Amino acid sequence: MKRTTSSFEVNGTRISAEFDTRTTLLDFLREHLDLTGTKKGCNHGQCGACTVMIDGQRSLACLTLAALCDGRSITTIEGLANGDKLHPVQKALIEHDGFQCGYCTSGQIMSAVAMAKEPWGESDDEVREAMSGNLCRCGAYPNIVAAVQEARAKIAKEQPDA
Amino acid sequence: MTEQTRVIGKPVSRIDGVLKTTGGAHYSGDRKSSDGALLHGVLVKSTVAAGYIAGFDTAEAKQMPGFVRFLSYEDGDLIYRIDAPNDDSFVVNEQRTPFIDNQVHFVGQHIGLALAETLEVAEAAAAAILVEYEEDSRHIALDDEDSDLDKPDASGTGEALQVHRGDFDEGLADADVSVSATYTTPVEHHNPIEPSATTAVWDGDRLTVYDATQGNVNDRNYLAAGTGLAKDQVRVLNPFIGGGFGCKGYAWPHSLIAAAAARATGRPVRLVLSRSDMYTSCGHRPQTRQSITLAAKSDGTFTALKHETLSHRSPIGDHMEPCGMPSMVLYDCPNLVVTHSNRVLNRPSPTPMRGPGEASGAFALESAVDELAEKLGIDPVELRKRNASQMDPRNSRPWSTFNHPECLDRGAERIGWSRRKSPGQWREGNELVGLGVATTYYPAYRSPAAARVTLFPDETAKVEISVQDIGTGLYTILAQMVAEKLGLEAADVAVEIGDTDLPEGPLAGGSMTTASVSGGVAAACDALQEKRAQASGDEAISAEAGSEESLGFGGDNDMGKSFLSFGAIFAEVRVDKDFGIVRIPRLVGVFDAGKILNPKTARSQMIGGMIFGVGMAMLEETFVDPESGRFINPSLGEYYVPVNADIHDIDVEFIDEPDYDFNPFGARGIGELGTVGTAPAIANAVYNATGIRVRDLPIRLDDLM
Amino acid sequence: MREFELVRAASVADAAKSLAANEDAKLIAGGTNLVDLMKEGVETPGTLIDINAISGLRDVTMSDDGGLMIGALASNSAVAWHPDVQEHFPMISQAILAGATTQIRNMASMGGNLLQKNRCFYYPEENARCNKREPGSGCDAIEGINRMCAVLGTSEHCIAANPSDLCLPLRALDAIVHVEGTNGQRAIPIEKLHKLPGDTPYDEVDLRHDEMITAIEVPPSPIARNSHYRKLRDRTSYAFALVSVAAAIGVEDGIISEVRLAVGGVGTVPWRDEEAEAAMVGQPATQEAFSAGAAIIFRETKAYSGNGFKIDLAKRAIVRVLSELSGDAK
Repeated sequence: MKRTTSSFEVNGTRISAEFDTRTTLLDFLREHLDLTGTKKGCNHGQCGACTVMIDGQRSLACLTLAALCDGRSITTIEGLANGDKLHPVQKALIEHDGFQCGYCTSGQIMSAVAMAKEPWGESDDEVREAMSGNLCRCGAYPNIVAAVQEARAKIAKEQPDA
Repeated sequence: MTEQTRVIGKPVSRIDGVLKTTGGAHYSGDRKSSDGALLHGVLVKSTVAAGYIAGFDTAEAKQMPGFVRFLSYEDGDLIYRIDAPNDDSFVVNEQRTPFIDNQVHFVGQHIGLALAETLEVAEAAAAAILVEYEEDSRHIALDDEDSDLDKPDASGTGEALQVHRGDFDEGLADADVSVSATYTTPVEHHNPIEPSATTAVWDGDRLTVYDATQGNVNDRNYLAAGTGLAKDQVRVLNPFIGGGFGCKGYAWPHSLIAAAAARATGRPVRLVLSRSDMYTSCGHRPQTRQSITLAAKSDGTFTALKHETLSHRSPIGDHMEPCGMPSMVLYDCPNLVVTHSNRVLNRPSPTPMRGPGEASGAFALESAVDELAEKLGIDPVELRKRNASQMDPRNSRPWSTFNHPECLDRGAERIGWSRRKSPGQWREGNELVGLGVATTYYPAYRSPAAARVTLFPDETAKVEISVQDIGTGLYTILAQMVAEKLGLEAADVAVEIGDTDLPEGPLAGGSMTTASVSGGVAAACDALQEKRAQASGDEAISAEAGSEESLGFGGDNDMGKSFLSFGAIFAEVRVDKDFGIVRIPRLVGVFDAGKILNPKTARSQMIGGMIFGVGMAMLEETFVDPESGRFINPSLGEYYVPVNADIHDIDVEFIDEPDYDFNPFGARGIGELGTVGTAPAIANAVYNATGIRVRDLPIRLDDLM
Repeated sequence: MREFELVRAASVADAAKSLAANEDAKLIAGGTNLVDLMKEGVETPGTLIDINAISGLRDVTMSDDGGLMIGALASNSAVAWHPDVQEHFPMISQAILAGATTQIRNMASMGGNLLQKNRCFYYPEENARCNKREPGSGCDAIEGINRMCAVLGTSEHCIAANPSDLCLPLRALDAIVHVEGTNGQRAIPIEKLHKLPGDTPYDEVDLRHDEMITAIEVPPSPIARNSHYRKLRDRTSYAFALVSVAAAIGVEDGIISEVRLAVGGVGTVPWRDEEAEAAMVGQPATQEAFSAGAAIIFRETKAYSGNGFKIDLAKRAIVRVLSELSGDAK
């Protein structure tokens, strides 16, 4: 089996591992690190359920070969809350009922957190477009938009420079 | 008649919200695997639509390091026969025992399973297994007259499918105006974001299965039959399910294949379906062609209605899409003909999908009502109110609550129906604007359910039922029910569900879970209260009770009433005059679904249901390759479900009139009610905007150019 | 996925050398298209050469004369949100943002986008006949489901449409693709990069096996400030184009002085017809002139069972975009 060695950071923890070159970041997180909060919905970059942050940019773990993450820093849903203190996006999603089955939710949250730092405009339509890479088959979209808007405002207030 | 409630009816946030927003909710494919105990399974699927497997070439797969085993019909004894499955212990939509023989009935049939130490190797091995076939003639097209045609008497829920009431020809002769048209809907797929996944673990002669199922008891019974175990030797766990919409409702072969593989290898086996597997492994909404004739007097009174449906099933499945249902219940029409025919095709097996029959059927009927309104010159809201069935036309029983006209009136007000203009007359810049309406409805079903409730000395409680929360909010609703009955807060109630070792409840389908568990939970709480009065308060006390009642199936019951939820959907659409692109700035839904137990989660469910309808109206189609019979867009990139940018303002109102005849909390189901009328409301709005009547879903821009 | 060796290239020369040494090797940057197709078994490289560590290929710079130089490894997002691109070449920014999703745009490289594979339903389907995937096997799309396929530049062997949004403004602006191989550097006009399917639909781009794209150069174009990208599709976002239009126009005293126009979703390659542009120049900036120009582009089409509507749709889109741009033109 063709293998490779890589080291990268996951939620602040340094990981060095040897693995099959074919392993995607998604499978590495789920199968090797038991970080199953990042979900596999389509495995082809078409649903957004596997959205994670790579060096602060939202990315699809299913289309990322783990070997290409060498030296990078990855944040998953498990690394978002500060202990018991939920991230404003997590809180807003619960408050606005921005999920039903919960399977796309990790990806929605990672996207929303990243989106708050991207140069999108302020309107609901901008949020809808910016969040269109994350499918929700339960149809929580209007609630997701409401939650993202509330969380964005809160983040901007707390971290005016961010 | 509304009883004062303290916790019920309040917008409580989901009690599983923290787990679901932190990655802590574990779904069936999330069982720990880093210890190396698990084997990974990947399906090998047939690539021809009809024929026989002549042989497998597994040489390349076998030399892959980490490859463990390939299973197929050649290991036939692995799985016990399930040929006579509908013996009440379980329901399947595909009756064939997996791997029973070498016959192939459709493209995508499971013909083998590659097992390996890692997922990467299992996937590579499955792809490397070569299959030789002896092909047989295949039947692919809905109008293939060489294939068998069934005319089933009854649907899966017991509704009569071939109905003749009064004298249709006489009714037609009496009419002043009539419309006749044919409507079609394509194959659609549920596409929950969580693919079906099974992790099977054997411990001696006991089998534990983590399965993404909407019906764990049904699944357990299926697995017991297929493994030759007693039901109490099998435990199915499904505390979280990533959506289902019907495709995880009945049991499907992959679950049994995973269980058999775990037994054959002596190792836990995980089988997660790929997205493309999801298109052929667990059903779809079948294609339909529906012909409707609707006739009325000049005052709008319906005199005759004929609704004929042609759909399809697989050679090894029995699902029939009951499209004629709305024509049987929504309107008073003395002369009615409803027929259903099912073509046997070499396509995968269909299964119920959110609003099965009702959604496709309502698209046809509610479009026809709109066409008739136009021809009569009567406002479509008014025409519906004039003909709304005051009693259940199937048996002349009164509806348990009846607010169909009120739903229409309130929806009309909320959408601003008075703004509506004649077709094609409302222009704003490059856009044509239109409003449309359709009635929505869904039968109210109820199945037996038991529950166990425990009260602890610290005044917290626990409720235990086998049932599953597929995203509807059942965790929270159960906590509210128990809190209401025991005088606690919802936060004080722990909810344990998703485990067949707990008191048994129904599958999450037919919008019936909440209504079904109500009886058992209420009875258990009542029994607990009696014990509580005599208890010291120092020890936990527990009570278990159940409701054996089934209600609503086939419209039959001994209560002298019929149970059905009505509603009205209104749509505003804006259509680009050159490009035909449709935008839906606003949808309004007004629903009469009994008492709303949690307006927050209920609103979400209605919104979600309506968005499902937007997909049906505007986007969704599984293309069937006419030559090979293959579904050729089996992905989320080529099969379009709505994205966030497709959805704008969605407005939901509930009538909120409790239906205490139906269950102690007065609730009827809401899971499918939002979906059923949405596609026709949009199609009718598109007609109002453009003057173009689209009778074939989905509505695409080229229909409107 | 087939097994592969992974090697990491430290420089362009390194990458070219690795390619030259290995028939079976492919470069990987963002991987959004390649990894997907490897999972489908369409791409089966024996070696992947990771080029992400090569320095100096991520910059986006504007020269004094107003041209753009875009490093091949710059992410699609970085270019789309770049202030100079947004101000001077809005249609490039809009085209990128109209494609895929933020997640994919963050990952995808500019060089990779130029080489994006087609999205015909039959291409990734192992058991379908497809001359791109399996030369000589035939084309199931011609008689099958072809809503997404092309009406211009097709052959009896392939009708797949080029799906790139980005390539359209680049084509309209005469971008130059800089490549480097073991024999040195070359500059390829983008019109020469993509090949019509003809008898060899599997031979898609004019790149030698050992060559790697290093940069995309966009020559100065004053009218590009007045440009727009419009994408028409079945789903509001996250869908490939049925039809798209990348257009820039200059209007002086009501007369068209210059037009740059490329059309997507309709061609087997990013489609531009300079004759149509020439015919519009000198005409009054009216819908009639735009319509006449559009007619020239579509003078020779071949429609199939499911995609004939694209011709009319594209013409209407061209007229709309040019009309709106000339209304805005100063």
